[in-house]
Amino acid sequence: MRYRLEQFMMGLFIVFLATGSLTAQTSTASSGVGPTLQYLSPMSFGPDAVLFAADAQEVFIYALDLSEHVVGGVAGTQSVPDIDKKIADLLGTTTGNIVLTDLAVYPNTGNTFISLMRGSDPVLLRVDGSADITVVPLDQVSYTRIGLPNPPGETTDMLLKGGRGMPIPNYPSNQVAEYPMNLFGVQTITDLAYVDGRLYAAGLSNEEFASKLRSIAYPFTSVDEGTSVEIWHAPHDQFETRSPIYTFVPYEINDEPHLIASYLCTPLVKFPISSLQPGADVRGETIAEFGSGNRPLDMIVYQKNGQDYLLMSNNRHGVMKIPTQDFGSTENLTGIVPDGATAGVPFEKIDALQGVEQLDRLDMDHAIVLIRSDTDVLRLEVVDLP
Amino acid sequence: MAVLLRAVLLLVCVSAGSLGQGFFSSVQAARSEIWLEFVSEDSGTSMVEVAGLNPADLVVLDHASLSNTEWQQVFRVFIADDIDSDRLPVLGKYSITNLTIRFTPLYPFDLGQDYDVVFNPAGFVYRKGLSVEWPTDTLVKRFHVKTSVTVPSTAILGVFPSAKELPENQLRFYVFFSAPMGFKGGSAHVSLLDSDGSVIPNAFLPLDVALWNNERTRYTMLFDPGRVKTGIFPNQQDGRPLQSGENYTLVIDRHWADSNGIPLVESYKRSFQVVPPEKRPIVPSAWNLEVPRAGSVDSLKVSFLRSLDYALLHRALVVINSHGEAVQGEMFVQKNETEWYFTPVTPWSYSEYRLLILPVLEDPSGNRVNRSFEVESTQSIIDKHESSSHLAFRPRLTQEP
Repeated sequence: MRYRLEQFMMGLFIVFLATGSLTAQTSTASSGVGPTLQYLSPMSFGPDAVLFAADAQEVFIYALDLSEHVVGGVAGTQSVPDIDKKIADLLGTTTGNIVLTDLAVYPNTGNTFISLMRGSDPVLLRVDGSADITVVPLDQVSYTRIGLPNPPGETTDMLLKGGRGMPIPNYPSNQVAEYPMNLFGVQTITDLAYVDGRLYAAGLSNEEFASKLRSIAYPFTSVDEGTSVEIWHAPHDQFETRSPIYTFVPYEINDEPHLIASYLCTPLVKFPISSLQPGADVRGETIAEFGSGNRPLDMIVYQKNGQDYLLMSNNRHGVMKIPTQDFGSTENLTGIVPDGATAGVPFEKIDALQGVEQLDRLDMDHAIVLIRSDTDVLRLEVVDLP
Repeated sequence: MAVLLRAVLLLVCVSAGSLGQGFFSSVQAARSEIWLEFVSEDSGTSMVEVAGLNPADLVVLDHASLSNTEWQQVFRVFIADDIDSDRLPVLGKYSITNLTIRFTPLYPFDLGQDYDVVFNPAGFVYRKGLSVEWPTDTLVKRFHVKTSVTVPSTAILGVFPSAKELPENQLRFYVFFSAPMGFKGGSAHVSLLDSDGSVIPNAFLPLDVALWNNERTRYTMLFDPGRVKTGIFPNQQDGRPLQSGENYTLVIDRHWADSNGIPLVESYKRSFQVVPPEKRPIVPSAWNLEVPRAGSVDSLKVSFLRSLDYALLHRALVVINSHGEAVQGEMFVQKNETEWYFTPVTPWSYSEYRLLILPVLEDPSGNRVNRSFEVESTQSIIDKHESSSHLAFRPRLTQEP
């Protein structure tokens, strides 16, 4: 009853304060050519040269048909030492006016697709095996798209100790330009992954249990209310429902499909995919805590010497390599972990990889990373998987 | 030698503009004078053109359907940068129009930016059908794209809270701008000075969570690390940046750029004294309501007896009529946020109204209605937090004193 009253009040609040952010009201699919995006990120490749790309400002997910734009390049991706400068040159602007928002490798060619904002214009680029950079003409790309229901308000209060809330901006338009290295990132849609006919999307809603994982059938038809997810966040001694999953990967534990997800300050959590039912409230099992004061950026899964590993990039703690062998057997963390301490499955910091802002797997042995140097130069680099 | 001389003359001609035209008319007869032009359409689209070429050559080029790579051999536009020698040409579309070769950039040229344009006709691999008048001399010109605004025009309208005395447990500052600002946050431009004029390091530690409104006219700085979630910030042990009894100065330098990339009209400076922390909850029953006359559009005046949060006052107080509908009108916040005025669009009726106080209302220290910021128990928050409160009032009749 209490929650209902509060939801009523929140509803009232939103009626009076509705802003431009609250635009995605549809949850049925539509299609067209030339998406009009307000923002471009996050992205993830699906089947048949389909690039799933979120507009985190309008809270829509697009399935972009890139079949005509994945061809013609040299296979692979070649490192580009000063990619921000090169992109700025090509787009007729300065590096201060572009923000690279995500990257995704097209597995069939090994070309890297980079999303960015040039001022308020979203841009999609391809980098190929000869370091050639081409712009994907978004106005010629056909798409289907779907809006996520119940998008969050301008800010969502993060729960502090003692029950107080601190407002965290949800939308790209409320972020300062230093994203993605800020502690908090865009919270409306945070990450996407496609598995076996379904697209999984993480982010916040306007509900009391704000953190959502949605399982969306592709080709798109409609989006249901999604699954509310909460986790036990040991260092904060509380259940986390109002902070989003920032990055996740599909992974099978003991032959059961799971999503391995990570949150701010930095729990690693597993959710069985079978539990992600519409309208359900699901509590993930926390299998590790990686310390405080940071935000996970990207995760990939790879194999080395017959062993599976998770590689996680992080805005302040660098890149971490986490063996997955104990993911099924490790005990769920339910107690208190002191601030800044780590617990759960072991991990190794990869000191050679500093300043990684974006990460994806290139092939069996390599990752592609965007690295910001101490002198504030951004480079695209092919690195050996550690 | 003759060709070289002509090259020099042509370059002079381009630089000198109309001054040279009469003098070089005999040269033009032999080979037309070419020049580079920056063209701006009313729609705001701007382009660069090579003009003065032999029309017959343009017809040939128009039919040649050259690729972008071929065009770039002869006609390139760069973002101006004297240092970089291996810069890449700006992407765009090449076309033949109005007796010119036109380059339209893929994305509009940035306002206030310089671009270098290079026309290098000798570098053209495609020569088939071009006349003897096809030039051989390279033209280089730097264009400056004017901004619609060139002098600073964006100002800081105000910084709230506005009182001269602020509590030690002050949570945030709002900075209001007269026009939309750029994408950058304020971390490089906002500083807090102690009474000696020294910068207090990390005063705005959580600048990470600084946020803009959608219009980028309001910038919010969260102030007190003690408020921040345990464990988020490593140096939360620093304690509060403000100490009771001390004087401080908030400085915002004018180099913070607006959405046109132009600095602010002037820097902002404000001193304030810090007083002991405010821990009392907001108690609406203690507020003073000055009730308007029925039939008038006079303002309802609400006095809070202390400062409340400026931004929240604009969204947390709602006047409801006897039908339960929100009354349309304008609100004003006055006297260091201790007074709130509401002026209805249509006259007050002689009936029961309610001033609805949404639970989000806070004072500058985060105290809420009937609930202090320092409260510890989550359950007690839920108990008290379940609904908004309200104050009832009835506009007075004109004949009442």
